[in-house]
Order: sequence, then C-alpha cells, then structure tokens
Amino acid sequence: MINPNPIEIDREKGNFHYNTDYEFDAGVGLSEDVVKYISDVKREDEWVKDFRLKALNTFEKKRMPTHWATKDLENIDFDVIRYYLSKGQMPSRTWEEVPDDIKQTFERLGIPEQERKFLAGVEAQFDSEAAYSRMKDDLSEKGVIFVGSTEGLKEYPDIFKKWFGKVIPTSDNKFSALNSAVFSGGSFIYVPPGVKLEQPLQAYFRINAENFGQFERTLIIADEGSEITYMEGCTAPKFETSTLHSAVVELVALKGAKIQYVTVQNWSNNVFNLVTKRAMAHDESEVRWIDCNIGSRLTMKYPGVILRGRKARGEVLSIALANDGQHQDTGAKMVHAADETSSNVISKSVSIGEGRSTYRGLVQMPGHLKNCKNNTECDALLINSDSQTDTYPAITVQGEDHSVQHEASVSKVSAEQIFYMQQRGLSEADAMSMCVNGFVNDLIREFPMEYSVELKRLIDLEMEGSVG
Amino acid sequence: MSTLSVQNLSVNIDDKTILDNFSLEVPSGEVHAIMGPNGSGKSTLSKALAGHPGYEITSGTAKLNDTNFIGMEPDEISRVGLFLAFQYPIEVPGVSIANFIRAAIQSRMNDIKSFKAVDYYKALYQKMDDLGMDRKFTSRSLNDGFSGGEKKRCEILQMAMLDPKFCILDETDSGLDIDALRVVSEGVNAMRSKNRSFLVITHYQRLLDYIIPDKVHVMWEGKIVRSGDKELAKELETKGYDWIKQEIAA
Amino acid sequence: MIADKKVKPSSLKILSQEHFENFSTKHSWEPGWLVDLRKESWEQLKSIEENDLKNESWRFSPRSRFGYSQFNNITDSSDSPKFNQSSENPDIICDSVDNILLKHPDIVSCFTDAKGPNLGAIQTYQLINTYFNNGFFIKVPKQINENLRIEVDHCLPMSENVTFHRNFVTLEDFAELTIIETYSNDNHIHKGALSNLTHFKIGKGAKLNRILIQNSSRESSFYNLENFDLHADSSVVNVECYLGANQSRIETKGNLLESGSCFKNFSFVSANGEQLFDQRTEQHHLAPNCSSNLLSKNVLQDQSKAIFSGLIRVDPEAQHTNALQTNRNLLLSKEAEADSLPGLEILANDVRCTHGATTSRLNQEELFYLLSRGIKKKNAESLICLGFLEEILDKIPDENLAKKIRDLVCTHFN
Repeated sequence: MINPNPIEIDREKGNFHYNTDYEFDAGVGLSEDVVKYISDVKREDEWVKDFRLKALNTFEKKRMPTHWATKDLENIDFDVIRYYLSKGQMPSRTWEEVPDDIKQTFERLGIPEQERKFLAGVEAQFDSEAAYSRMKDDLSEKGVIFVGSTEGLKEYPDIFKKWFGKVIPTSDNKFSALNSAVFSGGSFIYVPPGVKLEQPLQAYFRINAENFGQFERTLIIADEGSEITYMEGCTAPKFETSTLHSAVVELVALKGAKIQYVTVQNWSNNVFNLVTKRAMAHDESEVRWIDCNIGSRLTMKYPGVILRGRKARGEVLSIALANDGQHQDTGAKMVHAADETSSNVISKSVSIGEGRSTYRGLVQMPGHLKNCKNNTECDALLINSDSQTDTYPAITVQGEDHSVQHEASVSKVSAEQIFYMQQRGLSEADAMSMCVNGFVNDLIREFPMEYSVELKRLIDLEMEGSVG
Repeated sequence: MSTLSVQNLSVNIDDKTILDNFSLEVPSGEVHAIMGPNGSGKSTLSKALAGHPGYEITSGTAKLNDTNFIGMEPDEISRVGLFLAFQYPIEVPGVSIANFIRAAIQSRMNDIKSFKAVDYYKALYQKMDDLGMDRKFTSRSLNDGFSGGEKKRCEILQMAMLDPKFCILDETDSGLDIDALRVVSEGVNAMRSKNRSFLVITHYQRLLDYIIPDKVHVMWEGKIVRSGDKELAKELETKGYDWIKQEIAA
Repeated sequence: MIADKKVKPSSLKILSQEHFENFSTKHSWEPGWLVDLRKESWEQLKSIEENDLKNESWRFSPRSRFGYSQFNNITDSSDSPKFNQSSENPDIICDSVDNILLKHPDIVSCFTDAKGPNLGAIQTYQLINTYFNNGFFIKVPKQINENLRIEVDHCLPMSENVTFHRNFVTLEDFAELTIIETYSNDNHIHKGALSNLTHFKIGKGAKLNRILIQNSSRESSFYNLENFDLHADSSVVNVECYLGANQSRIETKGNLLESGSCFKNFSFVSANGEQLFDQRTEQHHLAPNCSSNLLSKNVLQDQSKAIFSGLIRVDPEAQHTNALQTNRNLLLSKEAEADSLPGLEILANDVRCTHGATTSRLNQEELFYLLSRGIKKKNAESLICLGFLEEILDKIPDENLAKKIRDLVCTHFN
C-alpha cells in the first residue's frame, strides 16, 4: 500500500467541504489491514478503529442468510470488491463512451445538463457548493449539524457517539457488520430541539467522491420537537462499476420529533443493494420511511421502526419495480415496544418481464402493552406472464388490547381494462402505463414533488417494451 | 359525414358463431336502435366493431364513411371516429377521470403542444354541469366505486369530450332510474347532428321514448330479422319477443 | 454409528434400532412391499438432521412441545377406528387399514404414490410411514352419489404412548362423499400422542365434504398431516374444528392438479389454558382455472397460543387462478398470542390472489351491550365468540352436529 499524503482538514465548524483529496490504493479484497488502512487514512480516533475491527470479526463469523433469502447472494465475491475508493480511483469514461440509452434516459427524465456528466461517470465530482451555499448558512444559524460520517465522529463525538451503532448493532446481520467495518461517506445530521426544517436536506448537498459510495453510513438525530425530511438517491441511472452496496441508516427521533426519510434507488443492473435501515422512535414521535426501488440486480431492504416511546408512530411507504433480471426484496419491520403505538405499512410492487418482487414483513406486539395498532397493505401487480411475486409477512400479537390488520393482493392489469382505454384512443402501451401509474399513484403522491414527476416518467420508461 | 356500413360480418367467440353474415347501414345523421332478446348477439356486435381481442371476425367488412376498420387495433378504430359507451364500464383504480379524458384527447392530436389545459378544463366542467355531475368527480378514479348511474354518466361525458363520428350505446339504460335516464338521454340528444350517427342497443323500449330513433332493427340469433320505424319498438314491447320468434318460424 | 449432527437415537426410545427391529418382527405378516416401504422410511428417519427441524416451517413454534422423546411404545390400536356407513353398497370400501392389507393387497399403488403435505413436520411424517399401526381406508367407486355419509370415530385406547395412523380416502370419478371424523376425549387420561397422515385423492368431477372434530384429551399431543389431490372439476369442502389436546400440529395441503377444481378449507380453533395450535397450510395451484378459499378463525383465552402459516403458491401454468386466504384471531386475555404468517408465491400473472389477517380483541361495544342486559361476562364472551365462529360452523351440513360443536365451544368458557 502507498502511504497517504497529508490530509487538509478544514476545522471550521459547519463547513460543508471536508476535504478528501488524497491518493492511495487499498486494493481489492477485505482484511484487517484494509480496515486499519481506511481508519488511518481518515485519521480516526482509536475507538472508531476498534469498532471497525470488531465488526470485521463479526462479519467473517456470520453466515449468508440464504436459508431464507435468495441464493443469488452466493454470487457475491467479497474478494474482488474494492472497499474504499478515493477520488483518484473513481471510475471514469468520456462522454462518447456513455451508452446511448443512458443519454436518452437523462433526456427523458429532464435531468439538468450539469448533473448528467457526474451521473454518467464522466466527471468525478459535482460541485454543489454554489447551489446550496445559502442553505448552508441557514442551517448553521439554526445549529443544525450536517456533515459526513468521518467528520461527524471526529468533530462531534459527544452528539453522535451516543447513538452510533445503537439503533443497528454491528451484529444485526452480516451486511450491517460489513458496513460497520468499512463504512465511509453518508450523512451525519443533528437537529436541535424545536427546529423544524422546512426544506428537505438532500444527500446531493454532500457530493464528493465518497458519497455515492458503496458503504455509506448515515445517522440522523432529531432532538425533541424537531422536524426534518432527508432525501437520497435519484431517479437517473448512476454509473457504477462496484457491485456491492451495503449501507446502514440509523434514525433517532426523540420526544415529539418527526423524521421523514425519502429514498429513490435506481442503481444499475449489476449491483447488489443490501441496506439496513432502522429508526428508534421515542414518545410521541413519528418516523416515515418513503422508499422507491427501481434499479439494481438485487435489493434487500426492510426499513424498520422500533416504537420505543408511548404514542410513537412508524410508517413505511414503499414502491418497487422489478424488471428483467431484477429482484426487489423489500418489506418493513415494526416492533412495538410501548403503549399506544401505531404503525402503517403500504407496499406496492410491479413486476415486469421476468422481474421478481418479494415482500417480507414483521409486526410484533407483545402482551404487556396496551392499545397498539397496525395496518399493513401490500399489493402486487404482475404485468407479463413470466413476472413473479412473493409475499411473506409475519405477524405476532399477544394480549387482548391490540388491533392488527393485514391485507395483500396480487393481480394483473386486466385485458378488459386495456381494451376500455384503447377504445378511447390510447395505445396499448399508453394504456398499460396509465394503469401502472394509477396503481402506484397514491404512494407517488407522498414523495416530495421534485421526485414525483421524475418517478412517473421513470415508470413509463420501464413499462416501454413490456407490452407486445 | 359519418355513415356506418356493415357488410356480411361474421363473428366467432371460441369457435362458436355468434354473428352470422350480419349487415347494417346507418346513414349519416341518423339514430338507429337495435333490440333483441338476451343472447341475440347485440353485445357481440358492439364489441366486435370496437375491435375487442376476444372476438374473432371471420368475414365481412365494416366501414365508417369509406374506411374499413375491421382488423385495426382498438385505439386506431377509436381515432377513426368510433365511440363505444360500454354496458359495464370497467374500473381503473388510481387513474383520475380528468387525466384519463385528457390522455384520450391528446392521443388524437397531431401536435400535443397545442393542447391547452385551461380550455380543456373549461370544456370538461361545462359538460359535467350539463350532465348534472359534481365537479369533484374529476379527481375520482375512473369508475372506481361508482354506482351504475354514475358510470353511465361518465360514459356520456367521455363521449361528449371526444367528439366521435359514430357512437354505439350498449344498453346504456340498464340499471338507470328515470331521472338518470332523462339526463343521459339529454346528453345524447344534445350531440345529435347531421355529421354524427348513433347505434342505440337496448333491451327495453323505454329509452327510445327519450332518444327517438329514425329506425328500429330487431336482432335474433346473430342477424337482423325485422326493421321498421319507432312504432316497431312499441309493438315489440307489447307483444314480447316470442312474437318475433313466431314471425320468423312462419 | 450415527454422526453427532443427527438426532440422537438413544434419547428417543422409539427411534432406536432395537425398537424398529422388534416392530418389524411383530409385523412380519405384512406383504413384502410394505416391509420395504417401512424400511425405506426408517432410513429416511435416521438421516434427519437437527437443522432440518429448526427451519422456517417451525417459525414461532416452541418445538420442545412437539417432540417424541418421552414415548416408549407404540400403542396397539387394532380396535380403532370405528365406522358408521349410510350405505349397504358392497362396492364401497370402508375398513381399517389392517383389514384392507389382508383382504385387498392390490392397493399397493395407494401407498407408494401417496404424498404428505410436506410442510415441515418431517420427523412425524417418517415416523408415521415407518410405524403406522392401522388407520382407515375408504374408496368410493365411480358415479356413486347417493348422499353417501361415513362417520369415523377414532376412539383411542387408554395410553401414555404414541399412535400412528395412516388413512386413505379415494373418490373415483364423479363420486360423492361426506365424511365426519371425530377424535373425542371420552378417555380422559389419554396422555399420549396421536399422529395421523391422511391422503385424499379426489377424481374427476368428484365431491368431498369432510368434517373433522378434534376434542382429544387435554394432556395429549395431536399431529394431523393431510394432503388433498384434486383432479379436474372436483371439489373439496373441508371443515376442521380444533378444541382439544395440549398441543396440536396441523398441516393441510390442497393441490389443484387439473382445471376446474376447487378447494375450500374452513377451520377454527377454540383454545384456553395453555393449549397450543400450530397450523400450517398450503394452497398449491398447478393448473389453470382453479379456485381455492381458506378461512382460519381462532379464539384464544388464558395463555393459549395459535400459529397460522398459510401459503398460496401459483405455478406459471396456473393462469386464471382465484385464491383467497383469511386468518382472523380474537385474543381474550393479556397472555394469549396469535402469530400469522400468510404467504404468497405467485409465478403466473393472470390471477386473483388475496390474503388477509387480522388480530384483535372482543368488540367492547358488543360486550358492554350484553353485560348491560345482565349477562355474565364469561357467558357474554362465549356468545360473542360463537358469533365470530359462526362463519365456520355454518359450513357444517348437519345441524345436530353443528349444535354439538357449539356446545363444546361453550364448555371452554366455564
């Protein structure tokens, strides 16, 4: 390994740009040396390095969960993955090398010119400084902390260390252990009590080489009575050579706080996207996961909420689109651990071509609690004769005080519906698109407006070619 | 101009012949009624003309003015100018009426950019008021949870907005009470002109008191067996379909 | 020597080689093919690994309550079951399996072709195949549809041991049968385990109405594995009432093999004390244009527990499938627990499949209304629960029988 050059650290608090301009090569494959190297390069405190090494140990001991998950997981080769990418190693190509269909997608989705080159892998960085400098001032005035994971742990340990790794312990599953060993990038956010942010914070604001990386670690703490919406991902296809993305997102909503976390995922079709997302909701707080999964070869993601405080509320709204060669394996986990808590899960999936969508849910209500409620609705729409869907919810309720309702349905767009719409002049493809958009409409409306228009266009794009 | 000319049309469902050498002329500007007992092939006629994939046309032609539309895709037939008001309008959840009708209108436009939303909504609300439909219906999902009467009104609303040349009303009156019947009929009558023709398919004579036909045909086992003026409908009502059966046997 | 990972034989007395050999000797009168079948099952039994017993098909289930380690012997149940037929027609075969083996040895294929539901209880399955000691055999020939009704009374001997029964019900084309099976607890000190494996083969156009009433002794264990194979245009209406036994593991599978078939399964559980009901079902659609409907309703008091796992599986060829599944649970106490695992695996696209599960407590408004009319709380609860279960009881064609079952449910509320 090459020794890193000295790092420029800008110690101005609240500053956006945490310089990561260094060149090195951690090579491929995973080992203690690689983990130590990552930690050294970031100049992390000793406790973080220890945390990473312990996690590596846990990762190696755990087996792949193929006893319940898809056997496709066995195709992940841990030895050929790069576990840390710096700016120098970012994959790049010329604009001419970018495939035509990607360029067309950018056009159809109306992606701004300046962003296209970044997304296509032609440029390694997207300079978002200018666009968001005003917001940055506004945030620092309010006392909001919005930094990357490395800076968060180094500069604000008194705030973040308390919750880091507590919502999702390292040993939760094999991939949270992996992330805990090699994480970098992601957002660490703290919102002070009573501060209600009107504008959503976006991962976009923190673009640098690490950020659309493979092992992001995000931790959001909303203090009492505060409100925040955070958005990550984008509808446009993102150029990737790495095949494994394993992020961890931890949310903490303290008393009366509200967190809304919006994700749109459209990774390319060679990516394994295995994410652990969980929130801890305290008294009277509210956490909402709003998720749209359109890309990747395999996505496994089960956003969860631990309803720890009285009257807390958790919601998961999820849309999944699975096309040829894709498997969207998503769901929700609601663990009720206090009285009068409520949870709501709405999941809609569309399987096109040979795509497969799976829903896995868990709802837990023990007997010593009172008055908890859950409502789950999962609907699947199958477009072509080879499309597949599975549903595996698990509901365990004890005690006489709760009420739980679960409904699931599988259907297709009927020939009669298509004929009806064609009789009014819509082509078969347009009719099909309209039905699919109608199917997911209620959920698309929950997404911030910036996304919902793009999402509709993206769904239309996916539908093309599915008919005839 | 909108003359419908059906010549020797034969239609099968699952290898069973339902329409057998069926012929019919509806000159431009006229309203013709078709009556017949259940199973006579009335619904098959309307679906087959509209290009429903479940109906196999084994021979014959159907022309709107000079265009033979047999064999075209249903949406092409619609753009040629044919409109079918369904007997059982299908529910399409999540798709609002406003968006649906707009998409249908835009599918006919050569230049979509010339579509003006303001004009569209103005026209839509006007027609809804005429039909006694609450304007809030625009955001409701197409036919989702609608009563029978609401569904039929929605069909007529679409017809009014799409300005077709030839309209087939497939048992539009079934399931309607007197008030709804009157409103729907007014909507249809308001669209009568010398450049538009109608084929009204009905089981009961009652509708024809409101939508007065120029000619009445009686269908039996896949063919037209009697034609006459509006008095024929009344005679049929009084004497029943058995009378026709006997007339044919004779 | 059997490797460490395998289930240790010495701790399970009936799993010892010695026991198997004794059993084989006693059953040496059986035809050769059957001896071979038992031996094959014995080999399979020995090769079951610990891990096989812990997987998804036992999720939420306290496996410790379903073992066989405490049993020493297999009961001789040559007196069970007893029959009551409504017809004198000699072509209808209805007899105990022991007798059938003696009188109709040509029924080999029934045994060799028969499959189990295969929903997780593999140890029980192989035990039954190895050690079954009687059961009932019913075969209704073509076209018999004279309101044939057969009652099977599984009166079990006093025992602290296991009983393994293998049962066969075959309906040939266009045959019709109503069968009522009862497991009663007249014998209060039956502390053993009853394990049943029943194979149903329903021919073209045939119709089966089957009612099962399980009210076994409170100290016993109950295993019921059933597999229904439905051929073209056949229909099965299966109603199961579970009231007894300390723990029950029930596996029911309906296979819609050919077009036009219809499988309906209605079951209820009324549990109190520490009763445990572990119910696993599967509706498997292999052919197009079939329908299935499964309804499971559970009423749970005290510290009782019910697990319901239901899978609707639709193969790629099974277009135009219509499948429903509903699980409804009423919890009447703080410690009662209901676990629901409704599942769907759909590989065909032109289908309508829905499943739903709800868990709640008694409607407080309803309860208050009854109390305000002077009705005691336990009685009020029993009335409301009976109302809740009425949807299932309604499916029992015999009103006298339905009344008997209602009375049994009431006894759970005293």
